[in-house]
Amino acid sequence: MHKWFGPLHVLRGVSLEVQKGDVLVILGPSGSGKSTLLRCINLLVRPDKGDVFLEGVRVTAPEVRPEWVREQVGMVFQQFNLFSHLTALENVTLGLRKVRGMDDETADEKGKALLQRVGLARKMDAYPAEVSGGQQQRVAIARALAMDPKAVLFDEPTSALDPEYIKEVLDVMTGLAREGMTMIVVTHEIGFARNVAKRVLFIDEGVVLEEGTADEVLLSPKHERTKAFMGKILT
Amino acid sequence: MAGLTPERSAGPRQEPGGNADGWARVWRVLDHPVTARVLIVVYVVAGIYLALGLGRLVGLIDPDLWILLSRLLSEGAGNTFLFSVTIIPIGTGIGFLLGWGRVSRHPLVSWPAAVYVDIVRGLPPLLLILFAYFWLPFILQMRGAFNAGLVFAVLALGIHSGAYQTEIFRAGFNSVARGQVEAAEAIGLTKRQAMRHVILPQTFRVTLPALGNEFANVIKDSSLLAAVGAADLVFWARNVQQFAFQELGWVFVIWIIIALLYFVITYVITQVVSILEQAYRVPGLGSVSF
Repeated sequence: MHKWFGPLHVLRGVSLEVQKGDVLVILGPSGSGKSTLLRCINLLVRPDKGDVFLEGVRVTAPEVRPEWVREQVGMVFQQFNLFSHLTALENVTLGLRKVRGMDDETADEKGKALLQRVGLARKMDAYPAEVSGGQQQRVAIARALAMDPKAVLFDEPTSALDPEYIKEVLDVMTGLAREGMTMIVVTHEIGFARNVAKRVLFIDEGVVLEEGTADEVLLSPKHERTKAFMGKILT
Repeated sequence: MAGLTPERSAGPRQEPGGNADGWARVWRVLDHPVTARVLIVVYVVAGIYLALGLGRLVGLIDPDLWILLSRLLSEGAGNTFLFSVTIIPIGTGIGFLLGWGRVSRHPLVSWPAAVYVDIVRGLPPLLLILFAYFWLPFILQMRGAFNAGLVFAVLALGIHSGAYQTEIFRAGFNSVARGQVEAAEAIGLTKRQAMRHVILPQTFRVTLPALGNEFANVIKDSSLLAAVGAADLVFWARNVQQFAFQELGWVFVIWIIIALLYFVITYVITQVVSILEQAYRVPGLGSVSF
């Protein structure tokens, strides 16, 4: 996959594959193209060269509606991006009601179950500004899960959080992984990568520098740049 | 937070009947902010009309003056209200569309909107009115038709207010975090649905206070229409004044009445906005969000 932003060559031929039920963690310094890569997968950003396949379907084909792809590949953002004018429950059910055309009652029922699952049943009537960052991010995870996605993309889901809230979000993500959700996670949380990731990818300057199991990439990196990066974030 | 729900601000809907705690009931209704505001308006209007009617009855006001006064109160007040509620939607329509244009990524859309704002904001509204009234019908060969000049003058004020409202809506659109649009698209909403369900509801809430302010300006600006003979409050006030100018007392009375009526019209419209504001208030929106 290739992507240019003007003269800037952000993705310089990245290839990756994720099997159903696997967790792939993507590491890399900031500006390395990780976020762009995630956005290319659900077509929030259209790759300039290269294709995305979802269960064998080439979703980058011009006749495929990007909305159809995004329904099936959920996304969780660094800044949560909850809809400020909607309550937690309304945030979760918006897609069900407007994209799926579900009636309010069924949508609410499903929304409540999802909020329960991320441990926020009590907060369903709260607005985003009324809950903590960790709770906002858990609502955002529930919102992504509401569409019954085949995979969920996480774009640095804990980077904007105060340290005290990181664990509650990682716990929810770990639970999801254990239940067999397919996940692609951009993160600097090494502990999470080691516990949960089936494979780890190290990206720098728009190319994959290293790929392997968590221990291979984290503990015995082969590439100089990977070594330097690990040295910085592990100490 | 309970006090901010729409039900509360919509006012108590208690049916009269049973006077066991009559005074308490009355007080509860008076005590409610919305009801109190409605009552202020009712009192002021009723007070003016009653006082003048009484003046006529006891012979304080002679029949000729009374005819002029009653036209001031009916036609003058009615026209000012009519001009206001015509100009406001025109301005809001222009402001909404051009404000949307201002945030467009296409320079061919955003640039003309910016030029419009800069030019119109730089012109005194009186100049726009005079131009629209005297020149437009002439240029468009519409002399002698219906009162085209006045229609153009009203439109000119709408265009004037539209420039200010463009900036209000631009700020409103800009206030919605870009990430929320991305999040809406990420759950499968189309761009149009994201606009309708995510951007517009937030723009609406954020722009309301500034819009209320602008509406209040429009009502006062409409008094400039008297310069081209529109029969609004100021126009009739001048007529009455000419009739009664031998008695300085009457001049004061008339201008106080005019001031009160402008206040009432402005108050009614800004209160409608304010009630909407309270009904749709959301914690974190309109103040600092995340």
